[in-house]
Parts: sequence; C-alpha cells; structure tokens
Amino acid sequence: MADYSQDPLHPIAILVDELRSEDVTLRLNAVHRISTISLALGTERTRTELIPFLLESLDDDDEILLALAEELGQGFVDYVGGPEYGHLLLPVLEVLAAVEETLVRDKAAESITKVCTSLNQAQIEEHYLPLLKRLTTGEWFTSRTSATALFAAAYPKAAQPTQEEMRKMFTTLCTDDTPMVRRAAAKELGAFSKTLDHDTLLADLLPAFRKLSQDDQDSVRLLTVESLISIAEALSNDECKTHLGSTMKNMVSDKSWRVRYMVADHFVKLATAAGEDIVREELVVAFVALLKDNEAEVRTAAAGQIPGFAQLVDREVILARLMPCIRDLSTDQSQHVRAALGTQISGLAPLLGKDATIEHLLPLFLQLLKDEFPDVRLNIISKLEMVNAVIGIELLSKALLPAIVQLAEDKQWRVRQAIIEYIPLLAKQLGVQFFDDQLANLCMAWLGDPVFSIREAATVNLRKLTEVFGVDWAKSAIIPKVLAMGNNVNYLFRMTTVFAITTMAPALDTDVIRTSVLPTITDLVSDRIPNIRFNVAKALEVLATSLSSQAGGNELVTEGILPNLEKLRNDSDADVRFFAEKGLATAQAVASGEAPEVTMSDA
Amino acid sequence: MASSSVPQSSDAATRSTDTDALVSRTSAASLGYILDPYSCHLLPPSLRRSTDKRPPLINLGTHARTWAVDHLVRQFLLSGEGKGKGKQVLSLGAGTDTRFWRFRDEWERQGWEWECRKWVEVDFEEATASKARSISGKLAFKSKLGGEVKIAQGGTALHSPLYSLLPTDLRSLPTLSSSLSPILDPSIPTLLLAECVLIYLPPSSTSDLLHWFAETFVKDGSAAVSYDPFGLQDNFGQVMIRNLATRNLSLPAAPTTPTLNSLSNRLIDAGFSSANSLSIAQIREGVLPKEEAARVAKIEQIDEVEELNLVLQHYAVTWGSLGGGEGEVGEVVGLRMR
Amino acid sequence: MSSISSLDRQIQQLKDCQPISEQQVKELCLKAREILVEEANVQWIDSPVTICGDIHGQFWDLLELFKVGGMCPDTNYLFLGDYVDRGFYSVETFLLLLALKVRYPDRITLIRGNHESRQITQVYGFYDECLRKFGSASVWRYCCEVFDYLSLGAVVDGKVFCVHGGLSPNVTSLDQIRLIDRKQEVPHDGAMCDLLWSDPDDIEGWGLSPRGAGYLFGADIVKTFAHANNLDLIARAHQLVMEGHKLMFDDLIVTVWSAPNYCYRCGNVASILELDENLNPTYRSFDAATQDTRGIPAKSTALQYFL
Repeated sequence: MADYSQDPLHPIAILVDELRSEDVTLRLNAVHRISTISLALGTERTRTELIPFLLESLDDDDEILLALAEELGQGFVDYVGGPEYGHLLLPVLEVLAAVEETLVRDKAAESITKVCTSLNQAQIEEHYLPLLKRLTTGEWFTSRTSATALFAAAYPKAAQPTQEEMRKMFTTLCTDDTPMVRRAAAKELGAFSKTLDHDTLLADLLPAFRKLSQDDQDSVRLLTVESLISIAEALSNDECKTHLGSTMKNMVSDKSWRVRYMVADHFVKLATAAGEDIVREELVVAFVALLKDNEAEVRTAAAGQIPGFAQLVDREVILARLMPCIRDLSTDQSQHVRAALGTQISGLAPLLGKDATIEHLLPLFLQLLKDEFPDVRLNIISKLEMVNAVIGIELLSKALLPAIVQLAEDKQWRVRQAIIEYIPLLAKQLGVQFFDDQLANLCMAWLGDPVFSIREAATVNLRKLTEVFGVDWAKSAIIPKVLAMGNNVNYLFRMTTVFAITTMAPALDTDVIRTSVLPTITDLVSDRIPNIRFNVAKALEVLATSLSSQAGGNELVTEGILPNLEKLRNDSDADVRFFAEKGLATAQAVASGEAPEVTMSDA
Repeated sequence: MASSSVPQSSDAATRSTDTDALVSRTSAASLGYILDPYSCHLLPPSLRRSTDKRPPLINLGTHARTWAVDHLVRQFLLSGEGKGKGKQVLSLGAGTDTRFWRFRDEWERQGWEWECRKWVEVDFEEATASKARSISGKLAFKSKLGGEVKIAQGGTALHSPLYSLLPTDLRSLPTLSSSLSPILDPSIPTLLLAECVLIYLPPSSTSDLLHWFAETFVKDGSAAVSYDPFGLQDNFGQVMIRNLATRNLSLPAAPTTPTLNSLSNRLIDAGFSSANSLSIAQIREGVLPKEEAARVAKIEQIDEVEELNLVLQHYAVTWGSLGGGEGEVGEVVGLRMR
Repeated sequence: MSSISSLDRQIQQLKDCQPISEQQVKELCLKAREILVEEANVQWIDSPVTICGDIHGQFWDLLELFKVGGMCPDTNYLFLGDYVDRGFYSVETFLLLLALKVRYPDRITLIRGNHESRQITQVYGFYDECLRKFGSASVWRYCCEVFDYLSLGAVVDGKVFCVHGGLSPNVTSLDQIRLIDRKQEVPHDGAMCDLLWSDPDDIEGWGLSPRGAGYLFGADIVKTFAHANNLDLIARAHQLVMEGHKLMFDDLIVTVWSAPNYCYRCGNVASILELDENLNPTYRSFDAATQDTRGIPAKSTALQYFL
C-alpha cells in the first residue's frame, strides 16, 4: 500500500484523520464523502488504496457502518473501475453483512445485491459464490441470516452446477438450528422462488417451503404466508390445489393466532394468486372461519379484506355466506373489529346493488351509527358517499335521519363536525320543505356550540345552504336568526353573528346586505369588546368585496361601509385599527369603482 | 391501536423492550442512581453515545425497581436454607440483565462467599445470541463465570460453571423444562426471577410456568420475585396499552392483573405458601431506606411529582415463598414497610 | 406592513408545525423582548379571556385547544406558562405562541412557568430538542433570553389573579410582586421562585414542597390573600389534573391543565377556562388530538415506560 501518511493533503490521509475523529458527525460526513474521495484518487488507487484501507479500519459504530454499507451500494462499482472490478467491493460488504446490528446487515445485503447486478458469470463463480458459502456456514447466526437475502440476485447469473449448489445452500438455511435464520429464509423464499424455473421450484424449493410452513415456531410459520402467495403466483390453478391446498388449510386453522392474522391480512392477495377454483371451493370456507376467529385481531384483519374478497365471489355467496358473518361482526365485542367493519362495509354496496344494500346493509349502518365507540360512528359517516352512490341520498337520508339527528348532538365534537359536513348534501337532496322541518333548528343550534370549530363549521354550513336554497330563503329562514344573535349578552354569540356574516357575504345580495346585515353590523361597530370590533372590520371588508360585483354595490359601500370603517380606524385598540385600515383600503377601491384584489379574510 | 398491530414483529417488539430497560439502566447508572458498570458494555454502539438522557422520572423509577429487586435477590442468596448445597437462580426473560455480574462484584467487595452454584438466564434466541456474543467477547463478563465458557446451539446458548444462558420461548414450557433439567438441581433452593416478563405472556403460560416451578423445586428456601405493570384498566393503563400497541407490543396479562392482590394471588394459586406485592410508589414511599431516598432525591430536580406517582402506582414488585423461610413471617424473602 | 405580512407567514408556517429559520427566531425573540419588557410583573388584562395551563410542547394538542377555544386574535388568550419541555414540539409550540404575541400583543398574554428556565429546560428536553432541530444551542439561548422577560402573573379585570404555581410566604399583596426584578433566571428560592413552583394543598399554613422548590399552601393562606387583594379567584396551572381542572378551597383557587394525555402517557383530559366579559367562568375540556394527526414518533412514546 502506498505510504500516504507522509502527505497530509493526500485524500486518504484526510479520510484517515476524519475517520479517526472522536466526533461521530465528522466520521459520518467522511463516510458520506468516500465517493468524492475515490473520484479524486482515480479508479486504480481506489482499488489499491481506498478499499484495503476501508477493510482494515472498519468502525465499530453502527451508524457509520450503516452509512458505509449504503455508500458502497450507490453506484460505487464505477469508482473502482466499472463492472469488471465490481467484485472488489464484496469483502467489505461481507464483513458488514455479518455484524450484529440488523440495520447494517440488511443494508449490506441490499448493497451486495446491487453490486451483484453488475457482475458477470465468471465473477459470480469466482467471488460471489465463495462469499455466499462463507456467510451460509458462518458461526454466528448474523452472517447466515444475511446470506438468505443474497440468492435471488445471483441465481439467474450463475452456471447450472452452481445453481444446483445454491438451491442446496438455500434449503440448508431453511432448516438452520436457529429460528432467526429460518425466519430470514422464510422471508426471502418468495423472492428466490421467482428466479427458479417451474420444475426446480416444485422439486427443490417446495419441500423446503413446506417444512418452514410447519416449523414449530409460529414466528417462522407466519412469514411463509407471503412466500405462499409468491409460489402460488408461479403455479397453475390445478397445481395450487394439489401442492398448496393443504398448506393453506393449515394456515387458516393454525393454532397460533398470529399466523391466522397474517393469512387474514393477506387474504385477498392470497385468493387472487390461488385462482378461482380454490376460491370457490375452499377459500370461502376459510374466510368465513377467519371472520369468526376467536381472536379480535384476526377478525379485525379479516374485516379489512371483506370488500376485496367479495369482489372475487358471486353475489349469492356474499349474501348467503358472508352477510351472516358481517352481521355478527357489527355487534362484535371488540370495538376495533367494529371500527374496521365500519370503514369497509360501505364497499359492499356497489357489489350488492340497490335492493340488497337496502335490505342488508342499511340496518347495519343504523346499528353502527349508534355504536358506543366514536371511531365506529365516524368511520361509517365518512364512507356514506359510496352507499349514497348506490341507493341515492333520499333513501339514505330518510333511513338514517333519526341516527343523524342524534349524532348532531354527539358529545364528541369531531362526530358533530362530520355530520355538519354532510348537511349541505342532504339539504340539496331533501328539498327545502323537508329541510326546514327536520334540520333547520339543528343548523341554528350549532351556531351556539361550545366548541369553536363547530361554530365555525356551522357558519360555513349556512353559506352552503344559502347557495343551495337561494338568498330569498336565507333572508327569511336564516338571516333574522343570525342577526338576532348579534344582540346576545354573551359576546361569543355576537362574535358568531359577525363570523356568520363574513362567511355568508359572498352568497348575499345588495338588498339583503342593505336592509338586514348593515344595520346590525353598524350596531356592533361600537361593541365594547375589541375582538368583535376588529371582526366587524374584517366583515365589512368582505362585504365590500362581494358588493363590488353587484348592481348598486359601489353606492352601498360608500354610504354603509366606509363610514363604519372610518370610525373603526380611530379605535382605541391597535388590532381594530389595523383591520379597519386594511378594510378601508379595499372598500375605498370598491367605492371608487376599482375591482379590488381578492383578499382572503385574515387567517 | 391494537387493530394495527402486525404480529410478525411482536416478539421482536417484546425483545426491544429489553433495550429500553438497558438504556434506562445505563442512564441511571451514569448519573449515579444505581451502581452498574456492566450495562453500558451491552449497549449497541449507536445507543452508547446517545445524548438523550432518560428523564428523572424514569431514572427514579429504575432506581426504585432495581433497589427492590436487588434487595430481594440478595436476601435469597444470603438466606440460611441450603447452606452447603448452595442456591440457584432462574431468571426468565433476562435480556441484558447484569445482576449476576453486579452481585459477583458485590460479594467480592463484601468478602461474602458466592454460594450460588448456578445462575441461569433464559430469553428469546435473538437476545441470548447477542448476549452470548458480548459475554464471550468481553473479559469483564467472561472472567466472572467461574471457568470455561462454551457456546452452543448455533451461537444462541452459552454455558459456564456458574452461569448459563439459554434460548427459549417462555410460552413453550416443555422445551423450557427439558432444556433446564440438565442444568438446575431440583433439590436445591431456587429463586425464580421475572422482571417485566409475565405481562407479555398469555396468563395460561404464566400459570403453567409458576405451577411447574412450584412442583419441580424443593419447597424449603425456594422463592419467586417478579416485577410487573398492573392496574392497567384505568385511563393511564389504557393509554399505555394503546401506546405500546403502536410499537406492536401487546400485554396479554394486563386484564388478569388489575390489583396488587391479583399479582400475589397468582403465586398462591400456583402453590406458593406465601406471597405479597407492593407498588413501586409504596416502595419509594415506605420501604426504601430514608438515606437512600434522600441520596437519589439530590441527583436531579424532579418536577414531575404527580406524574411520578401516577406512573409508579402502576408497577409492582411481587415476592413469594414456596415453603417456610426464616424471615419474620416465615418468608424466604420479603420487603417490609419502614 | 411588510414585517406584519412576514410575521403572518411565519405564524402560518409554525401552525403547520414547521420551525422557522434560526435568523427568524433571533429576530422574533428580539421583538418579543421589546414588547415584554413593557409589561408589568403582574400584567393587567381585560375580560373576555381564555386561560390555559401547561402545554409542554404538545403542539398538536395546542392546535386542538385552538380548535375548541377559537384562534388568536379572535379569542383572547392568557397562557400560564410551561410551554416547553416534555413534549416533542417545544420549539414549534413556544415559537408559535411567541409569534402570536408579537403579532397581537394585546390579544395574547404569556406568563412565565417554572419550565421557562435555563436549568429546567436542560433536564426536561427543550435544550436537547433545539440542539436536534437546529444543530446548535443558539435558538435555545434566544428563547431563554425571552423567558427572563415574561411576566410573573396577570390579573383579569382586577379580580382574577393568574400565576403558574401559586403563592409565596414572601408575598401578601400583588404590589409586592410588582417590586420584584424579574429579568433573571428563576432563582432557587424567594418570591419569584415560589410564584412559579408552589402548590395548594390540604394543609394549614405553609408546608414543604416535594418538588424541592416553592411551598405547599393551605386554604387559610388562599383566603387571606384573596381577601387582602380583593380577588374573586386565583387561577394557576403547574399540576397535572386528570379531569383537566380542579377547584379547591370553596372555589377560590383553580388548577387549569391544558396538556391532554400529558406526555402522551397520562390518559388525562385537558381544560381551558373561558372568562366572559362579566368574568363568568366556563371550563371547556378537550381530549388529545387524534393519533394520526399529532405525529408522535412512534418509538419514543413507549420509551417512557418501564419495560
């Protein structure tokens, strides 16, 4: 090795210095700069000096090792001189693949795999295979664990005898003494299986897979669920039935709930890979079993798969086999199961069609809307859109109205908020008569809600209702009530009046503003609470903006809005003065006939 | 939320709780709450230089817990039964626990004779594999083991004259008992130690384990000590269960341990002749010697009094004796309120 | 005007839980000090006002508080201190409140809690958080300089005395508090320390505090103080209350606690106290922000248990 210690400016000398620093950040930065350093060194000296240096001075800090493992996988092959020298990176990565920290090992294995893509067959035979052998037979489980991840990338590039050897090595790992290695093998088996041809898959890997799927540790067994899916994807429907059918059956009835959970959680994927025949014959039974599982976690996972699985079966099967389970789940003792069902159940509506949805799903909605756990109620409400699309809002709202009215007074304010957001849609569908009878009082009551966000949502709701039913309706049905609140002794109500006016302004016409709104607003200009006064200033600005586009708007701004703002600009409170000045600028522009810039009401 | 737990890693999550405990012990040791020169050597390098200190609440809790369990284990090791034949300790889910080495040092300092013929720790394979590697590679650990050190079972087990480390899943009693039978002598007074372990086991596994222990080992002089969260049915407990679920940790025993009595009854039901529990809050309040309490109170300023009490009311130390002992109320080991 | 719009932008950024730049923090803290130096040790404020207790860096829960109580400036706020430490977002929490203070000095009042101190923040997390988020301690230093300028208390319409901790044996009248030179690190004893550290307790007279600073004080002390200063109520924070607020001593003193599920662990509800324009009190309780929006690093949550 060259004696770079003589030259303090030599890139490696600098690197050495930094890598020996006490300060981890410095060492970390140094590692992240090794590509720059090797660029300065050129490829040859990178090979002859940098790589040997890295090998002999490996840090003991996981974070540094992790960074190194990552750097070497990021196109570093080019820095050592291209693919023909790529194998030179393997020794360092081999060491990293055997360290104790899992993150470092995983990253090293990932980088080895990346380097592998650039290697040719000769390099695989000469360098990669020996590495794989050493890791596969390593003393500590750490190296054997890493080895499992290194087969898939190299296998297609290896010569046939080597391939055979690799299959043997992998099956050895599948029967390792330690469960950690067997777990790793179970996890990697799926990816490895994709590189094998059909016959060797059946002959060599399938037995290893079967063994893992019957491992005495459930932590190993549960990892075979995903490899099962991979293998199933490679096999024909018939082969699936012959070779995998019994394994699937065992998984569904595994004595460990964690294995059953894995199956439940992957059920749609599994069913899709396994093919129609199995689905019809066996998987419906299996799915029903999972929906009725003893463990709430399993039922929750299965509930999450309901619409996905339902798409794979006939409508009759849904009604005859799944619906009874779903009915049970809607009264499940676990709130998590019910919450999961709440998010999923609406997805059945499109599959069932209008009549069946009305007959089978609506009663469940009603029940879940009364659930004691707020998440269940919220989940149902947030997915009603899908049901709406199938059965129409009228039916939906009539069936659910009592439940909705009840939720409007829910003690969880987020539930109330979710309901408010549905009101304009309901209103549009129900019509003004029905609305005035059933929902109008509710909408006004929200204006006095103890929670600010609800009061705010209530004012937005009023604007949307005005857009739905028109200004004339608003003039008689809403505005008098809103303005009456402006005389309330409690400032919070007076504040709500101002907010409501500000929010509704874009939906109001000159006439309403002149006859109803401005008189109240003018009273509030001299309210004793400064917060009211500066919100009046903001309201006046918004009113001016919305008047600018209306006939007679300019005059109304001049006679009704400007004087109020003039008064407020001389207020004793700084914030009132600020917002009055701001409003005045807008209003004067309107009064003088300029189109004002669209100003957002202050955040 | 429990529904989001992915079970494939829940064992890994359970194992990770040991790293938490290790970091807490290291933190408490570095500030002088407890004497433990060993824990820091077991920390992964990335955690070794972590600047995040544990808050005083955790340090105080770690101190009280360590003090109480140490006190009980020390009582057991120094108790009269089994003179000549020695003692045995079986530590379940021991993880990175360093008590064996700390006590070896203490005995040396005190000039006491080390009469514990075997100290066995069992845990998941990953935990034992990593600990076996650390112990066999570090002289400070290796030199206390009383002789030759052998690695076994693919690197997941370690055997030595005074100390053994075994990989096992505590949910599988047959495996556990068969792997222990060549190592532990049932005729010798034995201590079962379970620090923050039983909460992670299904109640039926715990019951099987405790029955097995009670039926296997000599009554006179044998005892059990456990440290567990309890009373998790209240708001604090529900939040704890939810928070741990986000880390894929579930606490299967929580519903069966609502009270202190439920913890000690667990031992009585398994065949122990006496058993008792005290919460860590009670221990800090009424058992911890005043001088010791005053010493640790000075280390850091504690501005979390309400929270400290709230948290420590949810953890307890439980002890039980299989047969009679020489203590005041016939116990082998026990804590007494001042 | 441009400084106001840049301030508005910073407030918006902080509301999204994005910290502002170090330079912006420096300028913000400088402006805050200019405003705070003019405020009295016991700042006079007008009703209506909403009084909030400890926040402790629980940023998403502070937003939840604003959702329930209304945003500043529309709602007037008085925060009783302990903005930082313990939670994961002390930086964003304190800077948002401070930015609001600078933008709307008359609409929000911030008084000092015992955690607004150099010593305590180095133990309980704010210092480490600044280091982690800015790479240096300068932001912590700027904030600590602001801490020294925060008022020690406030009085609403002359009738409701508000303070972080409680009373002091060295203080019998509000005027005595006005004589304290407050622009310093919180001392280990004396009136200023007691105001930030003491707790009411079911005892007679004064008692030793288990916190090692401040005192415990009984109903007799509170009654005497309230009578002597013509007060209707003393509002304070400082102690975790599982129900969010707790009235004691014939409703003469109340503890208001505004950090729901404190430390993401305690399972408590939070409260704010709304005083309307006639000083009628309403306590509004609220729960923690939902799990997915409050963005807690999942791992750190459980670090705070004994496992």
